Amino acid sequence: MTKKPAIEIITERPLLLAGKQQTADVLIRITPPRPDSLSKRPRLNLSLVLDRSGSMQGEKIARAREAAKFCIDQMLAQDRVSLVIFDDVVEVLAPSQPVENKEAIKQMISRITARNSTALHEAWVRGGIQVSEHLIEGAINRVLLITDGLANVGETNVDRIITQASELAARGVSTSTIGIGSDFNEDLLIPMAEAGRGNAWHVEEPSDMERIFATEMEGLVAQVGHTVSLGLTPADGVRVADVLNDFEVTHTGRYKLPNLVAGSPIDVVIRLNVPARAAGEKFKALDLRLAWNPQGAPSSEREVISESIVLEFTAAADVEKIPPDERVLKAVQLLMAARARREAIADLDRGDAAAARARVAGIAYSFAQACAPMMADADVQQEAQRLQDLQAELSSSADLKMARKKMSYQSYSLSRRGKQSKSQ
Amino acid sequence: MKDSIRNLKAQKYVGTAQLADEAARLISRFVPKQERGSVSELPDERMVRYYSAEGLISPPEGKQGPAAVYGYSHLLQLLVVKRLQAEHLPIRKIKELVGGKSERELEQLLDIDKQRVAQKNPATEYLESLLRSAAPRAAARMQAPAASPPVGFAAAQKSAWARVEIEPGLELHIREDYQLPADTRERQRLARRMLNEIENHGVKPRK
Repeated sequence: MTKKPAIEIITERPLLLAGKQQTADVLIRITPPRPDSLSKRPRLNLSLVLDRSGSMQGEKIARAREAAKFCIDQMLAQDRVSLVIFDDVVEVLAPSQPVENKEAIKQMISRITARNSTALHEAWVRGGIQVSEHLIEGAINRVLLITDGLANVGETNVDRIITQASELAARGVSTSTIGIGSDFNEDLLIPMAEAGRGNAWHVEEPSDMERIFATEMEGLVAQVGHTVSLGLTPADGVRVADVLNDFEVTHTGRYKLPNLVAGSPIDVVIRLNVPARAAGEKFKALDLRLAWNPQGAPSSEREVISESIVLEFTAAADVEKIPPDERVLKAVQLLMAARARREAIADLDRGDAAAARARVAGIAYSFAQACAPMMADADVQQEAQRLQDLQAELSSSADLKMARKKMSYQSYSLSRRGKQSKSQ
Repeated sequence: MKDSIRNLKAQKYVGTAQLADEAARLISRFVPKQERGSVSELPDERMVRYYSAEGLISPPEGKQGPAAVYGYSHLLQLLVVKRLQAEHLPIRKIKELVGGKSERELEQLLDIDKQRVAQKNPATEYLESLLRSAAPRAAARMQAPAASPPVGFAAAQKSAWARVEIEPGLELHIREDYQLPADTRERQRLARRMLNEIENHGVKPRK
């Protein structure tokens, strides 16, 4: 019997006012279970696919080498690893092997130096083959693509590469991407990781590299479920007006959630249009169904839990004066700020940096207003600071590229996680 | 044959996990897929330990640190046991069949001479198809050591295609086994790619 995630349903206010149609925000917090013991961590079957093109020269490649060696140190003899390096030429530096002789693998990494242009796609495919040829059922079979550049040799069509990442994930090999600096294509690397059922990371400064590798490795060993979906079935008269996370929707109408990782709850916020109900009534407004594949189980084995959102109504008019639940308020504000970033990116893509800046300034203001009672909260402080930094960067034309990247990654991680301050 | 299991004769496996892994990787070649709920999960460490305790697998060849060292004959034994289990033989009977057999005899129990070309898992097949579509460049630029031998073009297969006229001047060909992507975003990407392809053919927008 495997442990199941806990689902917590938190409404904005404990009671809704009876007798009127209204909108209610509901926070669905999904907390993945802790694995039974550390020794039960899933086995890893990884390919480190490392960009060694010319632009990686200097500190970037040096830090990437250290980070890759750090990965090796985290692995166990039961895991497998392979190394693929690429510029315009793709080289399988170390074919897939059990992580037994760590020193030998690390020495190989030490000798990697930077060279030419970027055959990103082929390198990803080659890394994938290293993993897939030794596909381990129940393990995490994953390609870790590390690049600072654009795919400019071989397959360069972004949509095609993203689709392939999704196809490969459906066949059991996931993809995480790590973009370094400000010259790579976030519109490739983020969707590639999303479609590839892995994680997308942005290394703003080379010195962040090890922290980010560490976070990815922690997530891998703490992963307890994948291919996670959430179905929402509202009762008659209730409408799901919005899912603030903007998750991708499957053709069956379910929302695609990130992998279940112990220690990383997922906050989903839905906005419900609720019809007028009588005072004293307990109204079952919505059924939700969370489904996932437990890590380590055969791929056909799917687990499901169902839960209902029950709203209670009262005639006491002052119920609306009760301050909203801070957990709901915070989740709503963070997701709104994530959405504003996506809109600001669209502004930038239209060439309108002024509009993007105004949009970020607007959300910074409303965020500060709404979150005023929670200013001591670390997530809130961090978000306020980030919104300020973004405004500054959007004011300088030299920083626009970096600002766009930061906004992409921040909105991506805000929409997927319940706890912000630790992961970023 | 290039991919024959006999290439693994000299291979040693340190620890039950490695042996289980190798067997898990090869099992689809030798053991037919089972209906649900039967005994045939993929080999794992627990299974290896259980089979050792039951005497279905010989004792390890030696030790490396705390880990048992296994070889080719253990791999064969494990695969044969799984295969016979798939044929619903009782453990007692399997023990009789496997016990004291030479490598050659175990190979015969696996019918390896009748084995067709190694079946690859769907992920590898998919990735190799991606490489094939980029083959001329990849073959020229790929540096040793190649992990897998270069793959030739698959023999042209007969397949049925449906032709659909979208509008005058634009046709769509759909192979019978084509599957539409499940997700909305994937579908949008597909639509975008189709438009790109049309534009890349120099087709101009209507006035």
